[in-house]
Amino acid sequence: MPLKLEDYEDDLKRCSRCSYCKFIPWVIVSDKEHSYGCPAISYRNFHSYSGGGKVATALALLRGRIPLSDALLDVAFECFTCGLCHVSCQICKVHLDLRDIIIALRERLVEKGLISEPHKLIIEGLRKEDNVMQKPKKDRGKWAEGLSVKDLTRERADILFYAGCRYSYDKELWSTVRGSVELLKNAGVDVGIMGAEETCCGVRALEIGFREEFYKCAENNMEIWRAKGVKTIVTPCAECYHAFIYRYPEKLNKKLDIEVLHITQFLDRLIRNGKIKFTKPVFMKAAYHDPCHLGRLGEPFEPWTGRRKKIRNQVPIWDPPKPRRIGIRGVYEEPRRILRAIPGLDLVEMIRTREYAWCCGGGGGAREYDLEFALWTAKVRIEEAMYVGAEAIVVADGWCKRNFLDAITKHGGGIKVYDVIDLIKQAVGG
Amino acid sequence: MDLKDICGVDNYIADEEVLEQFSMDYSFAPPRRPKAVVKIKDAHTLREVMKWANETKTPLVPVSSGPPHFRGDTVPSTGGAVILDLSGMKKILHISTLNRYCIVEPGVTFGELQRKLAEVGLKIPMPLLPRSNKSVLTALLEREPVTMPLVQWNLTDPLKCLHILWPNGEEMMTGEAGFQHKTLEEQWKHNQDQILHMGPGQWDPYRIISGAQGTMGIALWSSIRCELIPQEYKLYFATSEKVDKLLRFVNRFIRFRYGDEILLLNRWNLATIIGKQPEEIKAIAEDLPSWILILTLAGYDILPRERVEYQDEDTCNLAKQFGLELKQSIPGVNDREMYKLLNSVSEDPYWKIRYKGSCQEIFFLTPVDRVSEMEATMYSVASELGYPTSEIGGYIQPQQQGIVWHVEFDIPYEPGNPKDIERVKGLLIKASEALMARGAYFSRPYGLWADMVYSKDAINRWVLRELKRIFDPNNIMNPGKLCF
Amino acid sequence: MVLKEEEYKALEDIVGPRNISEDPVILDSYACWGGRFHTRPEAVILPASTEEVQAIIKVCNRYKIRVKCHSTGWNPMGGVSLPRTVLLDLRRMNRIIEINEERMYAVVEPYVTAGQLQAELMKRGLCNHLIGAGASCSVVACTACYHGETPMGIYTGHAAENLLAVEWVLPNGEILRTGSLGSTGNWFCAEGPGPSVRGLVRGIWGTKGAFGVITKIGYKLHPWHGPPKLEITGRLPAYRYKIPENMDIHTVAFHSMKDLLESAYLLYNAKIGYVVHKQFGFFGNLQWAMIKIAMDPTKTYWQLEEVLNDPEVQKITEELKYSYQIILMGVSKKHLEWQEKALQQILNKVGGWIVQACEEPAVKEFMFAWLHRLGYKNYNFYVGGYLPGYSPPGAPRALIPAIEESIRAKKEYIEKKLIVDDGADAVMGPLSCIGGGGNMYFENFCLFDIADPESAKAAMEFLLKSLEWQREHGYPGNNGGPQDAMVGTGLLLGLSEEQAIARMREILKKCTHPDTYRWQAKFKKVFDPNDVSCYEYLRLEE
Repeated sequence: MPLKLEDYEDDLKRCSRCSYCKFIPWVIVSDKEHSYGCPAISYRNFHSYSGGGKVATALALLRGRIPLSDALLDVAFECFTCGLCHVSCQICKVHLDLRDIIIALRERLVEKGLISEPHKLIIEGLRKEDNVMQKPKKDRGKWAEGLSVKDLTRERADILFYAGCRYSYDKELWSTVRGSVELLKNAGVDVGIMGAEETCCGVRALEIGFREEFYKCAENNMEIWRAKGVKTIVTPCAECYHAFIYRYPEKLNKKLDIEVLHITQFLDRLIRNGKIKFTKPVFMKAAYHDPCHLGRLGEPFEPWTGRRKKIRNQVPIWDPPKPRRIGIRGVYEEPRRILRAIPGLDLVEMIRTREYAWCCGGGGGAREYDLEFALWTAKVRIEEAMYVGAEAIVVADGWCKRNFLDAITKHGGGIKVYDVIDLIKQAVGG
Repeated sequence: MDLKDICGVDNYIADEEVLEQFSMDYSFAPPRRPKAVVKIKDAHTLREVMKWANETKTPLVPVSSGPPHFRGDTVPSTGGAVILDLSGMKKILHISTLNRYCIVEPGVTFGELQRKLAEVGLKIPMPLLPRSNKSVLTALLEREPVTMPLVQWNLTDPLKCLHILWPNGEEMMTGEAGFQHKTLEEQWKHNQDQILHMGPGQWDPYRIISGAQGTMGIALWSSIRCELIPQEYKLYFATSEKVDKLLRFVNRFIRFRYGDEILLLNRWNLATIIGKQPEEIKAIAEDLPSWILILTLAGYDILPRERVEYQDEDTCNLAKQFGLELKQSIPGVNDREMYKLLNSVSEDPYWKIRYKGSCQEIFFLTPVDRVSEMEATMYSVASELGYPTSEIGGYIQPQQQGIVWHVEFDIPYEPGNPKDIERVKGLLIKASEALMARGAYFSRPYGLWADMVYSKDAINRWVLRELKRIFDPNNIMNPGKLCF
Repeated sequence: MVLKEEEYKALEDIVGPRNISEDPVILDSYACWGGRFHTRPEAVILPASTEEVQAIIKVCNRYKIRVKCHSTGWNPMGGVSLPRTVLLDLRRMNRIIEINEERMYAVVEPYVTAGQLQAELMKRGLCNHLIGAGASCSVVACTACYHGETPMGIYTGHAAENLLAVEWVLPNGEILRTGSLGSTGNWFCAEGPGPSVRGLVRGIWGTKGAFGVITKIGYKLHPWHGPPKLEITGRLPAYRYKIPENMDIHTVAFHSMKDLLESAYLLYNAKIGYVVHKQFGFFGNLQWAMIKIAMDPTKTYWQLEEVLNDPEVQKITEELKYSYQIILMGVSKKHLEWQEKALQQILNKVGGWIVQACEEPAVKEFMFAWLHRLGYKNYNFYVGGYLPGYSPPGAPRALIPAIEESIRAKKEYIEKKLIVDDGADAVMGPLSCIGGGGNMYFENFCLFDIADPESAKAAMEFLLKSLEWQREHGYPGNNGGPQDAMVGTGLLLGLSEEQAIARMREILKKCTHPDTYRWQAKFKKVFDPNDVSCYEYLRLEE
């Protein structure tokens, strides 16, 4: 069962204020500029904005030391819940589930009625229109018009292609999501979509503190899938991937009996099985950006029940040992394998990569809360891509792509933004 | 009680001849006769004298080394001063072979100490051929450069702990001597040493009294980190007409952290060290290249020969990369002779005054990449004033593991020749100004350097004056020196 | 107490509204350590430059507001103890202003961390002193303001030995530039001119950000003979470094603590070692199990008992009881070979040996990564709480009584189940605090559950008892100073402000060197006429 804020109290006390949460793992650091890991504190500088700072804030809230205020909203929500703080903290300490603590903090604020206007709109939209984009539900399937793809509200297919809210409504990204389906179909995959009947995965609601809304979305989706006999879901959205692979099973405390794959995982299979062949070179130097929800947050949930106890007098442990989440079982290789297989493409690694990648600035509800912060975060990442000599930054998620595109519009930056799918399409001559 | 009662009649000297000797030195400090010279043999007497001086507001000028003095710091700047002759405080209080350190009183000289340490296989890093009557404690307290830069993690090394008698009569032991058992004897009984130099507390008292020319207090003893006498060594010379070539090599070599003595001398200074008579000095100098680097590789108690061997190979390989040949002898001196010189005190007469009878030093600190610029500046000013640059001694000493470089020019002159004196005085002033303008750091501002240095930094000057007021409220310790 | 509007405005005008806050949400994150809330600052200010720091201090002088500062702020001493204090978070002052490879120094601002700097320096054939607390700590804080022991002390010296010139905004608002900086604008020299005011900057302790603000330092660097970047092996969280060909690491063990300490004297004479540190001793008799766990990405100490049950683990743990790690770095292959032989000779002399279990390549690489980058230092707090006990610096032999007493004292608390049962001997520390050896520093780790009030109380008691014992037995306090004298400690014990200050005075009087603090009171009077400094700068007024 997910914990409430007070359930974390003992762990909150165990934060040693080492500041590891502000940086990438120290052993990895190879230069100063790219040693910073937490966008929130890098942007706002007050300790409160770091993972450890939010721990202190949570404690202060539990003890009634601080009032509900705009400052508290800022501290809690100017954060992408990207999980970098959690990864860095977990190097040495395993008490603190930093990301979940931040979400629990947000839930507590929502319970107390401290909700920002942008988030109110998100939730209202979710409740009314089943999406977090504040768009009409009826328009959700428009992205697929003319694709001749199966409609799973009426038919059956082997694969449910789950587009997600961002791809469904962001027209500029439709070429990517449509491209995904085309690739699958052309590879002979039996794929279908829910179209306008697709509903939000709900993870955004969870991340901004609305657990109950998330539960509704989750229950609704799982019921539909059960009814439709869905066995495999493929999604191009990293956040939805994270929702299905982790949050939904977490709710049930058991694995789903549905195979969930990110589009890059599925396409990687198809490429390796020869179902997709690259015929045209794509000449560019590209840096792959690990979406947080696909990488460090892309670890599957492992069911567990246990209790706290102490050994050796005062060593607090979970018994049996809790599965450790530090991001190493996320999806890192498949996108890279795809990109390396594309002829002509020179894949370079950024400095902050994989489990300790710098966030794109698109998630956790922070973009909606403070767009300037989100675009600044993306700008930092774009600069890093350019620092390693990349002409393009390649993503595997619609939220990342949108945020990078907007950052380039605002801040400039002579770099292109592609999704992995876009490049595959180019390479197959699509 | 008056001073005679405190020191004993035999230790109170008001003899005119003696007072005359203390009224001046080889610097251009204006002569001023002291009121008396008192010989201090023990700490108790010193404490009583300090108390008396505070009561009577009598200026005190502590002197631990014998003559000749060169820097003006032992010449009273005010009337009615009493010279404290500490050269009789000659106890070597402790030698530890286990942890390699010793504790000495101010009157112990380099020769005395090295002889004693040699009995147990130890030595201390030396300045370059100090005078035979030079006080070890004073030399190190005044931050005289030592020829072994690699054992200096601090510029003040190998000086470690002190027992300070502050001008106001209070005392403290510094470093770990100050925060362990109350007495040295108790500390030794408990295996405690006196090597950690920091504190006690949130300040370093020993640094406040360092470089102070006796204005901030007196050290009753100091602990000094010793080194092992090598069982094997190899001394090399490398020469060049351009000092830059040698400096570039040394700056790389020093990063190996090999070796004991590392220093550079120009032909004139080396000739002055080797030679005894003026003509001999000139002849030797003529045969030497402009600059000579001297370095020693050393093996100690563990596998000494093998240690020297690998260091030798690596050093020679590096020298080749810089186009240098390492030799074991050069005209006038071979490695054995040089090694002996580096580990000895100067024979009399003191080497710096051998050529013409007197010498004016100009020395300062600079980073390595500015050394040759400073050399050029010095020679340029000397040429302008008609001083023969070929007779200016040069000494470059890397310190603190190569972070800080002591650069010194030694200018011989005839003390009885008014024209020579005027010329050298002028050179001293002009060269100092020119060097300072180029960023030379006169960290030990003797004589006229004091005004030059302290006028550049008002806050530093203010802080020092406030500290002086705190430690020496009656302004009895060597008033008139530095910025006081 | 809150600042008056006029006071806040004056401060806000200096840094801009985005860089100052008096909101309790912000303030409380600067008051929280170990789950406890200490004194809240009146405001937190983020200056970006020396000029801003000076302006802030001048305003505080005008309105008689105390000033405290910190960089990364790991330790509660970085916080505020008394009311009417503003806290300067120096995070925005994070520039490496200069790395001068030729002169072997760097100039850095307060928020440059040791790990960041090390990464930049290695590219240039240089390295730096990393404070024992590790890569995340501020270079300025450790070098100028705090303690300074490090695993690499034998090679790089104590933090204080790396301090060159300093730019210091004094409590009265004047900017003091020490050493060569004041008169030449150059950073290379710490001392002088004349009497060295560097002596005021710090002693065995720094001023803990309580006596003005140090805004930049010149920082001594050291030769690094390894590659510009170390190759990373292993994976998160158990990163390792491939050991360069001219380097090696060993774990050496001895039959007794006495033998181990004797080896220190021999090491000093041999002049070998880049890092010489009894690192993993802090795990006590959980040592080998915890090393295995730390190296395994799939394990945490939740599996500790399972790992401990392995007889092989128990055997190696016993072997490691009196052991330390040594990293050798050679200029050349032959240099490294000689050091290996020299080390073996030292071991032969004192009956020590190289621990074969730690010669396994993965173990070597892991230990090397740990000790070179010191990026796993938060393991010190792996159970939540840690306090050091019986940790005076001293000559190797001199430490034996303190070590023995620490083990005896810990056993009491272990038997009462109040602190972690690690066998009572959880001694860790460098075999040299200072460059070239001569003095070292060991501490016995007291690990406790900070979330358990009884456990936390026991640990505090252990610490306070250790400091009392040290005083009574002619030792300095931990890291050389009377930690228990801190006003913050008194407040933690539930005393009022006045009581805590009185307690500070009583403890300082009992030190072997109370005069030190009387002098500090005099310095404070001169350089802080308006009383804006904080009590972490200890003093004993007349």
